Amino acid sequence: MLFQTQLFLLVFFPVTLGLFFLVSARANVRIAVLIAASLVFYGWWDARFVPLLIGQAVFTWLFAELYFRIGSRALLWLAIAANLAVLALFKYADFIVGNVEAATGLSLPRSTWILPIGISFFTFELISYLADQLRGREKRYGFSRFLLFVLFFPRLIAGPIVRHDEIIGQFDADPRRPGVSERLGKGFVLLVIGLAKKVLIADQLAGTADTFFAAAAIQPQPLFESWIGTLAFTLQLYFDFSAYTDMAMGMSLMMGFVLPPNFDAPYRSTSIRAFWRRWHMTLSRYIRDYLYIPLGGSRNGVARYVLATMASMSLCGLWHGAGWTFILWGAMHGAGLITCRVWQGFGLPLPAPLAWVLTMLFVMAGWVLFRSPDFSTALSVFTGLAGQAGIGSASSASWIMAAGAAAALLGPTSLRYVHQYLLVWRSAAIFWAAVFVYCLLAIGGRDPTDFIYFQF
Amino acid sequence: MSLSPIAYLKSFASDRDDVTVWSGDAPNWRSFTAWAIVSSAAVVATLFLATFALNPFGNFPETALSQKFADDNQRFDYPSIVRSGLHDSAVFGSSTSRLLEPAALHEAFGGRFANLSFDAGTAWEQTQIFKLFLREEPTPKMVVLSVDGFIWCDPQADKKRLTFRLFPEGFYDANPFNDLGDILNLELADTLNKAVKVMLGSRQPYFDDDGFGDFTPGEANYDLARAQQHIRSEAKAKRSEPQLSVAELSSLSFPALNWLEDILATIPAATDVILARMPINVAIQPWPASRLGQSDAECLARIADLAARRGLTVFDMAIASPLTSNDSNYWDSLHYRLPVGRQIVAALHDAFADGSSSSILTIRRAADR
Repeated sequence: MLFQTQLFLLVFFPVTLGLFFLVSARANVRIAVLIAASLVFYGWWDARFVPLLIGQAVFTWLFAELYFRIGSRALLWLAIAANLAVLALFKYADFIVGNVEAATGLSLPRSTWILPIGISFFTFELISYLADQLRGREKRYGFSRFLLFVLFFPRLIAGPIVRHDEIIGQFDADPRRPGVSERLGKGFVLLVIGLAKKVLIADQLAGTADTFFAAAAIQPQPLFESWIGTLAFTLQLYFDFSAYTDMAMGMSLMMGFVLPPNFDAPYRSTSIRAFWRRWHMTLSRYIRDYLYIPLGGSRNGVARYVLATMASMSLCGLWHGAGWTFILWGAMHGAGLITCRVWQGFGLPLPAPLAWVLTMLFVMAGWVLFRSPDFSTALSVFTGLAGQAGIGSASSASWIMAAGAAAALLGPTSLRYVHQYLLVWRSAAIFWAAVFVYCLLAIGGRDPTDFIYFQF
Repeated sequence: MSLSPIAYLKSFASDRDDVTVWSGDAPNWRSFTAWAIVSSAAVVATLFLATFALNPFGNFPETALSQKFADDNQRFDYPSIVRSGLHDSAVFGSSTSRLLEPAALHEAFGGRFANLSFDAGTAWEQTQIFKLFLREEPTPKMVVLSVDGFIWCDPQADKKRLTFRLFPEGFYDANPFNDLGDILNLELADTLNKAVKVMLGSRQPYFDDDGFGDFTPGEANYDLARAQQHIRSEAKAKRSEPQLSVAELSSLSFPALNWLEDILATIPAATDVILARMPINVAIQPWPASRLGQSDAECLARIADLAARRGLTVFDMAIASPLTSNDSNYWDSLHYRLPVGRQIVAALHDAFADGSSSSILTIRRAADR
């Protein structure tokens, strides 16, 4: 089920929220309601994947329980390996087979399996739980609470990537505790902001970006079209992904749960390091804690730092998609982070506007790789961006792009807005209700557009 | 509480966490939340209630305020005409067949006709209303399928299934409850407004209970010069181009013909079927020496092949003829005038009766390839 559908917004979520508050006096029943709702939510796409999702969660919990009783760390390693194997099987098997074929000239069978939606997100969360036990941060949870940690529907498909110890404890807090009106109000506005970002901005920009990349796959496009198309995707990706996060955080807040922030105005960054502190923050945190630092981090010499950074970021790229364009995108950011650190070590800061321009050019070049289905398309886009296919015209630019750019660069983040700037007036409440209803009408009669990050 | 609008807007770009716009009284979250949620629910409920009460699409139970067919998007209205059970015969097509009057068709062929042609209807949309019709009327007396080349021969037909007009898929299945999922949209306010006007008598329904409606400005307002201006601006260039080879022609793909094949296969043997191409003005007919012309001819031949499987021919009026060459028969290059509709019904009747061509209609057979 998609967030931006009338079925979800008018039936599924209100009914779930209503039931949740109806049984709020009893924690176990509340949790059962959310587990049942999450299974319906996930099974709506394809019920065949529900056993896989539950199976991974049950398997992980059982192995952790065995570890707590027996004390053998091998159990944890085994469970991590099994989770990685499931991810590899569903997401990377065909990629690996394709590369073996290319290297050997053999013709091998393909799995043709469908990628279970959200598998990268929930598998990472399961692994982080197991890895934390290995690192001595032992946490033992009841089965239902652990299951809800994995299944909790607002963030099941595309994050934020939540750590077990920052959410499971919240499940026992009574949603009617003091501040319930504030949480409901702020959560509702966050939900509406996310919905508006998705429906009114991201989906509108998708047409420009999709048309451009489809055309560029055939031949390089003129200069203006290339820059506008690349900028459209740059904005689309941010508004699309942050929209999902806003909606996830908003719905969670309405139920009394606080999810970690995922975006902090990333396109205002004046360095690549700052960008990764502001973009998909929960993934950055995950990569840092579970890859970069275990690989040596920055405190074990330059060579180890370079290795840790490049390996972490390349794997970050691979996490996004089973393709060499994604791996190169990750490696490119790894190289960018190293270069940035070296430059900052010189103590010669660039003027902020110049630093911002360089950062954005780098980020946009990365998005070209990220969006292109293959290297030839990416090369075609870069050829167009360099003006090698004529000048063209700016006719594909739109006011939505300008408004989106202004909001991304000048506006507060959604989270900051609801916590610091939301005017708690009756007229403001009616305004947000009107935006909500308008978005409901705007999604009516149209096929919903998937969130970009659903494919990861 | 006081607030400086300038300071408020200026602080937007700040990344500081300690900025606050509040001073004075604590915010009343209880009131804010109640207003936000209750007003959202109230607007949504009002829209649904108004739709139930006015029943603008005819798909809910009748009420004292029901006003059918006030809207001009037939995609929302025709399912209820199909479900009315009043029609055992129907016309399917786009705006080029909208002016075939059910009364004239009844006179010519005897069935109780509905005209279910959509304005700018795509092949996919036409297929959906056809499937619904056949589900509701399993043994139709007659169906007239308008298979215009620019619609059914579009190589992108499977990708461009919809137009800018909304298409309520839920209205087309057997489940009445999922119709609710297609009610709320950006066209609804305008539809309800029109329904109220119909109720108050300041507006006429867009079409009748048989789906027919004269969408032209009316014969009294016909202006030949204006029509010719439209036709000239829409005319296709008549340039000869390098010809497509036989191999290239055979590799052409017309995805909508798969749907046409399914349609023809599901029509009961006892049902009379007319497959026709409507008489679009000669100015926009594909030039035979062009690649588009070749492609159109190839597609027509494939349609004739499909037709031949159930012993049918194609009644082709998209030809250079006294009708299509005379601009005074048209409002624009696609849309002929209302009296021409009766002329077309007569030509279809004659061709159906004796299987012979006329000055405005050419019989296309599979063997013509």
